[in-house]
Amino acid sequence: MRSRLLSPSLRCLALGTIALAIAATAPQALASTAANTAISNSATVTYNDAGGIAQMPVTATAIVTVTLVPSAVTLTSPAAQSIAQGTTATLSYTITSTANGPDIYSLSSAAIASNLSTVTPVFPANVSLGGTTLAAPANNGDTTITVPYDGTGGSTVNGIGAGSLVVIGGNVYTVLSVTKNSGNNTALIGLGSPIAGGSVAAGQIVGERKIFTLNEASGVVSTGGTGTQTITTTAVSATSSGATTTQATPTVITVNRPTLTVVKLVSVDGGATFAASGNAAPGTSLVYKIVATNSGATAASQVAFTDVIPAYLTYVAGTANATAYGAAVPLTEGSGGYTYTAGSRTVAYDPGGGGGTVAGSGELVLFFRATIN
Amino acid sequence: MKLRSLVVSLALLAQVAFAAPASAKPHIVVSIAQAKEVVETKGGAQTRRMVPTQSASPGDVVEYVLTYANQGDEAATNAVVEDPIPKGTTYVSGSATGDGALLTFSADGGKSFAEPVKLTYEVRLPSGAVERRVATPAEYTHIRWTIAKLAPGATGTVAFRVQVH
Repeated sequence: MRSRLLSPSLRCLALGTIALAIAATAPQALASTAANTAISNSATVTYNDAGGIAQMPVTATAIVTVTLVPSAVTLTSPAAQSIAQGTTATLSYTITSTANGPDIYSLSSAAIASNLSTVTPVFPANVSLGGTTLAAPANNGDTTITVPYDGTGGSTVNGIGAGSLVVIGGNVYTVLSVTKNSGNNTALIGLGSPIAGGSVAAGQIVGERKIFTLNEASGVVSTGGTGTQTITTTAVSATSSGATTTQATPTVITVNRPTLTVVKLVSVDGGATFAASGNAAPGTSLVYKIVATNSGATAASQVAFTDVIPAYLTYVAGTANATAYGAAVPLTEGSGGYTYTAGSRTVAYDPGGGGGTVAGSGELVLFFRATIN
Repeated sequence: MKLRSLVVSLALLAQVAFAAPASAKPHIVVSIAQAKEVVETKGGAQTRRMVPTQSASPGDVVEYVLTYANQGDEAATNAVVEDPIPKGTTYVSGSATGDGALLTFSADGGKSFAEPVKLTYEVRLPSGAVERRVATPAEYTHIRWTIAKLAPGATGTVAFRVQVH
């Protein structure tokens, strides 16, 4: 249960303590002492004079302050998500300290685009996290833990204060209060819920946890309807570049955009059958069918049709209708976004709103008639 | 008149003469110096040296050197330097030194001291029985150096090492 040992003379000590540890509890992380803890050595000398009379004792004290050992944080990998082009993906990261003291962690993030334009993610430059160690074991059911005094007044101990989230023994707790007792060289942290999942030994890390957000705009899809941005974020201790963590699984953001194709068909048999072309006698009432298909995975909005009636045909008013999701809706010239402009021989249909939205893998069809002169 | 003033002067002189030298006594002073073991690698070879320090990381070995001196004008006898192993550290086995001093340890919080070979302590088992165990260096709670006699003007040092948790 003791920390790593350095010199050869400690070999016997190591064997003894390892044997004890195996017999005792499940293996735990190495024990540690919080940064900023004062380790005080006081020596007293008592003595007598030549005649054996006791003299006043003298005392000397020396203090060693424990330093921070920078440690790589734990960092989550946000789940993959799909967004529509033109929107922004929001990634939520949870970052937790594993260090024995407060430290600042610099963040960096790279977005690799595939079939998509390059967009730089937006995220905080750094996150500061508090950290300390248990000065006494935390037992199941305890709502207060004891940590070393950090040498300062104030309401936070090693960066941890009311409202902080801390992880102890693998479980997360909310801090309600911090009470310092410099005379005892300790501080008490009050928790919002009792220690659960078993006792946590003295010397174990109490690390602060925070959540930060990274925003990545969609960028523009290059070809087709889909592209991806792959995000990889790294957090590194500002104290030691060796204490670095990169999210284990890069986050893939799939960006979808609508892809519209238009097909114009004509029926020479009054709407029974439609084809790209055909033959018909003068006087035949042709039915035109214009199909707008969205092959993308996301909706297209503000879809509008325009078509110019060719020469030798006469537009027939009152014959237009549009289908969305298979239901035919009759159209009246001059309302609902449907117009026929005789001067320019132009049919225009711009319904806007829901009527003008074509869902991913959906279609919008416009029918109207014209008679061959 | 002259005789009286002479007697008064003589009496005063006598008082001053007898009050003069204060009785000889010892006066011990003690100080602690802290140093940390630093490992350096130069040209493939590792060297360890102790550097003075006010700070240490968990796992570091800290050496305390206690320097004592008798600044009085009489020998001190039965000088006992007692140092509890600082809270938050473990005594490094075999690291205590102190020429001319008898070295003993305690493993029961300072209640009893003995030389390492003989050092034991009692443990109360859950069954209620009391078991006597031989203390291992990691269990030492206090160190004591006993110096039988320290002459006036004499100094000495004792030292030991601990590992920071």
